[in-house]
Amino acid sequence: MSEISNKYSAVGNTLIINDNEIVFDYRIDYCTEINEMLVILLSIPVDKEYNENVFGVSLTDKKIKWQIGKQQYNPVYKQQCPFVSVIVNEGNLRLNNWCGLYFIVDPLTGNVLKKGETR
Amino acid sequence: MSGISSKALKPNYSENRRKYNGGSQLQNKEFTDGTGLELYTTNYRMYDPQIGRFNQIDPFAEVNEDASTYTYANNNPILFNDPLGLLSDSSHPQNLTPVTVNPQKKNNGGNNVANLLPLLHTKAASDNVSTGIRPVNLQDIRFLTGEQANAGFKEPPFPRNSTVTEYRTTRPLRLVRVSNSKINGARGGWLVDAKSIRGMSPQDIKQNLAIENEPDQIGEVEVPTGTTVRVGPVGANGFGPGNIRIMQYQIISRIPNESFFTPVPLQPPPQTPIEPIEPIDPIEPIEPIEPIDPIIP
Repeated sequence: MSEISNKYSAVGNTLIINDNEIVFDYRIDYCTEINEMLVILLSIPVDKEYNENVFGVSLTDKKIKWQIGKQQYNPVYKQQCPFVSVIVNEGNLRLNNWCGLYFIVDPLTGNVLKKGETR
Repeated sequence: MSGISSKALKPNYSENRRKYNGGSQLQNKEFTDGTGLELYTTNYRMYDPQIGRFNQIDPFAEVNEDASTYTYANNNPILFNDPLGLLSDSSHPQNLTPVTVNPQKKNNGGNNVANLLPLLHTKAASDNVSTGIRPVNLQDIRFLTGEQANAGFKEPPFPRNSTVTEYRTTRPLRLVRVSNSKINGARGGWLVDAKSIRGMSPQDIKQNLAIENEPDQIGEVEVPTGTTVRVGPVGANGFGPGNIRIMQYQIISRIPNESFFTPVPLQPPPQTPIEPIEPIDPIEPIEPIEPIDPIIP
């Protein structure tokens, strides 16, 4: 993914904000802005067990402000379910994971405000 | 078929209604009009013992792609049965011992490997031996009740009393994912066959699939070979009434992002345009008839 704006760009594992580089463990799959925060979704390979793959990066400080917490192991899927989409809609930040759960998250702190099932 | 029925020989015996297809029951009492329709009911399909075939298409057709989708028990009812209507000998796969078949010995005579393969399938055999029949490795199949498959869900995806089949795909599956671009996105683990929702409006899809929101996009998904999936009917839940005739796929093992094709907007079903009615020409006023002059005597 290589999304370019006048403030930031993302290439491979690296996020560049005004010449400041932040390198993540996995490839950046998607990023979106909300309230001067950049929300980063990492693409987790299918053979990796990792579900803390969403980060909030401050566009003003150019630093990582939060990382989503670890979710419970899902016995049905026999794996940790990583997030697969990040959606900003009407001021809400919604994260959806592979196993069909969604989390409404405070974009400034990463705190989970609400969670439920989706498909 | 009274001519070959056991009742023709022993009319005073109560009828054995569980002769064929172990476990499933003959439903001949449903038809009292003398049509001779005698069908065995299974969880998924009706079996007609008179023609030795199922009456409906195999909901598991992609697993046994080389055979007709109406075939019963791999066309070998002596060795196999299919009480679920899903797979040959699907009632007791746990009793089978897997055997490794060496493809290089297939023409050595002695063991008739081709006859064993439908039951005792191995990866080596599937890759190298052409048998005309390609069932799945029975070790990879598991049958769950809907209640078991619903464990952990607040909004149960499957009907409680249904059968949900878990298996590993033996070839790529081409399915679709319907989603809402503003809510849950194009990637996720719940898919359906495109045919099962063809012609439905977004509202119909939400109701029939019992999903959280009306979808606004649909994207093709190619599920790779070797993926663990669960297949079962759509049950009612808080999202909608569901539709038990639609089989939904729960992708258990994650698949790569590249498996998901770019979604396209979901179009409402085309409606037949109503042709406008042409306006009727205004009726020209009838000229008043001039009164006839009275006849002068």
